Amino acid sequence: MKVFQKWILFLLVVMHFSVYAENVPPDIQRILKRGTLIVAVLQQDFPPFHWHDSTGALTGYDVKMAEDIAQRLGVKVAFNAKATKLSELADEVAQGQADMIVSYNITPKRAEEVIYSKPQLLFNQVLLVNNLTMSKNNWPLDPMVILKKPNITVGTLEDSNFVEILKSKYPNATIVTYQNIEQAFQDVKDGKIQMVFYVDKLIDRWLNQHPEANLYTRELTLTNRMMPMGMAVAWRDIYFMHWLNAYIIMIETDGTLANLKNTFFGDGT
Amino acid sequence: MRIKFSKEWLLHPSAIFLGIIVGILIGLTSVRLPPHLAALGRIYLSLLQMCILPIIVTAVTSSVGHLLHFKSAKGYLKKLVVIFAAGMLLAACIALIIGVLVKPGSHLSAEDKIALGQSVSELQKSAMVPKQAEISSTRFLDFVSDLIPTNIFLAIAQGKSLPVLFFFLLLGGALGLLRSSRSRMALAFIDTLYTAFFKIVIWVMYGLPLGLCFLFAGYIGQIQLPVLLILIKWLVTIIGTLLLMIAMYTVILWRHYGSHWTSAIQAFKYPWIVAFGTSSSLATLPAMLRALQSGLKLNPYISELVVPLGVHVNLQGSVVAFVMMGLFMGQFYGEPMTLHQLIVTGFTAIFAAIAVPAVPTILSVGFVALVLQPLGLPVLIGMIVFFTAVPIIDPFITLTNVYGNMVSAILIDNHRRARLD
Repeated sequence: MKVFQKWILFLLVVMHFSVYAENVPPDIQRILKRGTLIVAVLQQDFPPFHWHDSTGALTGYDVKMAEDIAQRLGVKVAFNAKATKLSELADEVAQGQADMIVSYNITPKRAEEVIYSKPQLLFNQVLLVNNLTMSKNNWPLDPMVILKKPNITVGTLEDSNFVEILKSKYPNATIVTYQNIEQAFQDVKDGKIQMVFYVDKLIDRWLNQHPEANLYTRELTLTNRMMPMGMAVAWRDIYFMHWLNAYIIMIETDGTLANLKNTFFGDGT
Repeated sequence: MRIKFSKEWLLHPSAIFLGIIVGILIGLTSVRLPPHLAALGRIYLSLLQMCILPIIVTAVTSSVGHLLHFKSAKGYLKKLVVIFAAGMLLAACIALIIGVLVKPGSHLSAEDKIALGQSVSELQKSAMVPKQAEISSTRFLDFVSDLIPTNIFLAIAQGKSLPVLFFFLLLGGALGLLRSSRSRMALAFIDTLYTAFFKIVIWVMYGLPLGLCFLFAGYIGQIQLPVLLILIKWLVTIIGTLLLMIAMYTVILWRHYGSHWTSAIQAFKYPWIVAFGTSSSLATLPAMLRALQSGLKLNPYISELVVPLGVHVNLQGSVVAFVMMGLFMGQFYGEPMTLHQLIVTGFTAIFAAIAVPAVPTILSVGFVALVLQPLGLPVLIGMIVFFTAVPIIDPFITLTNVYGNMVSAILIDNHRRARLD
């Protein structure tokens, strides 16, 4: 009986130590064991989130933040750029082809596939309207009133949350989707489409790069309409998501997030 | 030799010119000083304008009251309406012809558009330009309804000159038609008040060289040279048209006075300088009345009606500026300016010039909406362009308004004097 008790005690000690060794949750341990954090990005350049610079190296807000996350985890970073549409990014993460997406619009539909961290970017929803179209139609300065006008043509990013918002809330609008949102801005400037529905900081950034567009367009902010972006991971990577939430709190307080926003979005968002 | 200093020297054009030149030099050489001096300049302008509303009120009431004692008052008022309307229409036509021929808004280079776009973006953020939402969408019917004061004391307190003018025109008319000894006494009392208010303005005028020095230092500091260089063709076209108007008034004077036309020019020198320096027709009103009454010996009752009315509704220089604004924007955006649109531009420009309060043009930037909205052109961009150009064109606009008004008074008085004789 005493021998049996000793064996029980030995097994408990062994189990205790094995649990201690497994103290890192399995989803994080998977990344640590692999030694690489895999981040899903779109195949095509999507500035300022990610794009290839003149040397061919990948850069941008998502890239720099992914590098920082990897560094704090003590692993390398790799980018999975198989997705050609925004919705495919969630598929890559859900199927385990990537560990996370850095900046992903928070929508109920996508939340069925992935889980989100707290928002790390918060944009205002805005309309960039062609100046002449606005004056000729005598449209008011309220973008929500403009969006309800009949026979309007609104450009926005393909496969984005904006398409859903337009379809559900503004059924009068004829939607033109763009894979490259900057082409949509250009088309508004040239009067090819009446307006673009998108977010403020990215429109501001484009207007700073194309100052002459200020003469042909007008930016109108939708009151109390925001576009939050969080980090997304697979539903089973719940511990990694907690780690990312703690990471966001850290970078919010040590100045890293503010620096990244200033670098890639012109000023703090 | 002892030089005797007389305070009258402060009213002499050479002292005023000296003030302007010192102001320009300060504006060109100092960065810190101009904003402070501009604030002092605004204080001086307030001092100058302090007695303007009382002068307008007493002048208009008294002149209408006295004129209605003459049988031919009706014919005289007709002449006033015809000359004012003809002057405004002529200004609109001249500006339209020159603007269409010169095309100041077309062919801006890509670099110019980038620089202009940058300036528009900066000014939009700086909140220096009034927000479009703050511009009252003044329509014709609103304008007419605003013309009638529901409470005359409130209108006076709010400085709404046109409703005040409307009320006191009626009061003067009523006093004139009473034809009793009491009404004559009332008119005599109003005459005395007018003279007293005028006296105060003359005291303030002694500070004009210093006031203009401050105002000019501020103007020069405000000028955004890079953007102005982009708009140079447009600015030259506006100033050229205004100078043409000024030349036209001089020809009218020459035709009117024959060989004595130089004495009229001599009398106008002082109001010209005040107009150019203050960029305010209202602030120039006492100088105009003084030149017409003391210098040219015009019938005081006529000049006291024509000039205060004219600074509100006979602004030919402002018409030129508004027409040019409409044409510039239409040409810039490549809009085909049809005959219909040109006519709309002309009439809306006249309407905008009348609707604008008689304040320095910088405060009336929002009124370009009256011209641009009917043409379907972007109001905010127009406001920013106008705002940028105002420090340069405003003195010329005011000079034209003032000169046009004085010439109108001479033409109207001539008609009246012939009958009075």
